[in-house]
Amino acid sequence: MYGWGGTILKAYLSDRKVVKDPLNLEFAKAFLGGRGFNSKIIYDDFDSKITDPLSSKNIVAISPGSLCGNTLSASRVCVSVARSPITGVFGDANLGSYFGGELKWAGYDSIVFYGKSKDLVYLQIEDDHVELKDARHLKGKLVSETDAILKEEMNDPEARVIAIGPAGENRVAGAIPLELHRAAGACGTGGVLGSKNLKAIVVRGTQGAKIARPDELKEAFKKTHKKLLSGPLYPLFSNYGSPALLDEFNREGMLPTYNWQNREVKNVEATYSTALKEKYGVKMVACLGCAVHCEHYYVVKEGRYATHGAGAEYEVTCGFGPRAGGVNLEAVLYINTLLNDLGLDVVQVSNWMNTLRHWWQDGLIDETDTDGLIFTWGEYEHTIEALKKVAYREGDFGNLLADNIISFAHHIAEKKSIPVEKLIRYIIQIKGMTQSSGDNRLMGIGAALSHGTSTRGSDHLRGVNTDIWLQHDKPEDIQGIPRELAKKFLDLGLSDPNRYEGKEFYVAFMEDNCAVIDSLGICKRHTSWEGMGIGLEEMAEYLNAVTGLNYTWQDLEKCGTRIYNVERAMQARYGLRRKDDYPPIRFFEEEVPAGPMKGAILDKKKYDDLLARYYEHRAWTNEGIPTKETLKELGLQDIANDLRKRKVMEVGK
Amino acid sequence: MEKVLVIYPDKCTGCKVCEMVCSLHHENEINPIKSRIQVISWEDKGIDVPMVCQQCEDPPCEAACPTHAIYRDPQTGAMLIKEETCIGCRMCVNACPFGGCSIHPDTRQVIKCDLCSGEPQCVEFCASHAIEYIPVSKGVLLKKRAAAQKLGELFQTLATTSTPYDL
Repeated sequence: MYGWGGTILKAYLSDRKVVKDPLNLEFAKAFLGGRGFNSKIIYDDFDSKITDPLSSKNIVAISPGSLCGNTLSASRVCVSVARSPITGVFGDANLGSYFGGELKWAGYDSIVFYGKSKDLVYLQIEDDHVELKDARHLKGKLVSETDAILKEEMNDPEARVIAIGPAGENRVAGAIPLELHRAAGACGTGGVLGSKNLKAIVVRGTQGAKIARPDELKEAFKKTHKKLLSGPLYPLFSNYGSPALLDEFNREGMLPTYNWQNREVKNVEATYSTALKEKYGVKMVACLGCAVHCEHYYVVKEGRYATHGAGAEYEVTCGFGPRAGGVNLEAVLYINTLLNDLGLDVVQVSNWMNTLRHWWQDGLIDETDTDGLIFTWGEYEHTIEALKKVAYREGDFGNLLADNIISFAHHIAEKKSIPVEKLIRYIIQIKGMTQSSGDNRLMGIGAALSHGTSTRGSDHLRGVNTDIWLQHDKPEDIQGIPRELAKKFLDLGLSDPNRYEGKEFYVAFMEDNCAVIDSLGICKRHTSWEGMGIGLEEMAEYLNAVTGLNYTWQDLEKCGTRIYNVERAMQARYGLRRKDDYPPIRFFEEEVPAGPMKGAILDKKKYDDLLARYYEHRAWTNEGIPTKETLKELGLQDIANDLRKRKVMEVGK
Repeated sequence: MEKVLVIYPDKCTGCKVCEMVCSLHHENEINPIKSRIQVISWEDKGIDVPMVCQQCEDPPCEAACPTHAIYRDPQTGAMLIKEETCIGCRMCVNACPFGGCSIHPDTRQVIKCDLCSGEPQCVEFCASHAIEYIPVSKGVLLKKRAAAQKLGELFQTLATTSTPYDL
């Protein structure tokens, strides 16, 4: 078997036993790898009647993309859980870095964790040798400490580790696993790993990746490498990384400041990527096989916030910068390093902190609710204290907030006799997942719909990040989308970001495209998702050269549709419906107050109609559930039968 | 004109594309342990140093080889291995101060950089220009090597003395 490692590991934690299952080639061809594997495995293996995300019966699947370790631009491994502590339903998260390639070189396509270990353990993989080992000595260790200790114990500095920090062990909802500073952000998978008493996975693989058609791969490398480096956005991302978005968004009035109140932040330029690079950047670093190298290695040499680390994405510079009403970049970098080591999700917890500030601003909470901590805009010391309290579940405040911001809102509502809806309105979230630093009023209507319909809750990574990538006159100027589709999108008038009509086609395509990207392990920053050149055609060339199969880009797109439908069916089985596919209510009711985008708002009626057209285009019911025919056409007869048996199908016909 | 590989660790992003394309070129597979170049990284300190044969003027590997299996390619200046003569004794691996020689895990023979017959793949695919293939005189070559080595050492000591944060 080329391309895939050929083996799935099933780790039964309760029995401390790991079983090797051969990978079924037909399954691999249909679901590709990574996210596709995880979603189908979890759909099949999880008893959806289990409602507690921290139940020992929850399942975690960790799969490298099928191109991980085989090609350039592909490093990502997908971490999925049957139930996320944040959303309560299926969730997943992607991690770049080096772990995915190493796992492939050891010969594995997936690791699925069932049950719960009695004591803290870690999984050690050294090519064929796979063992669950005692991790009691790692209890409470930070992510970086765990990384160093496990490499030392394996006597192999080239080994790769993903680990949870104290936050994961303490089952904090916003906890995530990381490989040092590279996070599997979103959906709180770290708390699920913690609930299973699984501290880390360490892997060393020396088998490498056999290539079916090496000469074809060499040609594909040359072509794609050139395309990537000559892309119009390459200089920006390779020099400044995603923090460059902050500079750009601020100039265009698109920055979500003060928890999406979008008021002006004084001296906001202090948080620009140019300041980050000039004052604290040492050099740019990259994930495996990546030419874009979008991460800064940064050092704050001295002062209260002396620190060092890597990453510092737009999500942290905005989430703890202007979105928190603050401009202290040194404090932001300090928080970035701290959160990576505690194993907390920057996107989720920045949103929690900024919601607290917003409640504080409007007099809904005070020191009596926060164990004495103050949540004013632009304040950093109390925020740092709060983040530690959350990670370690210290005090009532830390312990209650660790369960999630929505449950915390319920607690405050009860304590203060405030209607809970009033508090929840402040939280920018969809399906319970708090939003990254994009604004659904400003990033285009496709992006708004895509956030709404995302199968893992509010998400800029599930489909359309922003509609501006279509803002071109000629199809050949649109990056990473097959020419005939780009032409169709322009003919439909989709170059207008604020147009509702026709966006269903763009969103559905991008959702499927992203499902393929996540399943192959390609970095989204190399693709049309971020206005870059790698599209389904290039992905098909890579996959064909590596596996010896013959996918067309349309075949790949269909795989994406299949994977997306598995996830929609799974979420429908949990009870998600049309009402869960809407952007946060504030974006329909609060206009952007000032700046170049003054007055921007979502139109409820137009969104309703767009959502209906999107379901129709998807061939789903008017409640957003895949129909029997749709599932059957995608080769998902088993899921169609399952939904019928559970009477999910009849709903919303 | 003879050319040499020059390494700039301060530009290296640690992405290992060089290892991937090197093993694909030489082995038709992707496997860093079969690559002729390796990036040694301390990711927590932001240090990445590509290690590869320097094609020395006075190669210790050649001197250490008991079967005279190592010779210079007159075209490119690369030190090459006569596979039929190499006995896999690893004397060259021990002698090389740069870790330029390694053992092929399957054949157990020595593998090392052959400059891809004058078109080094690592250079072609290095997006950050951390490896260059440039013509130089002997003197400049030695200087460059010394400078590259110093840069490597500099980055190793760069690890800041500050603690990342207080817990």
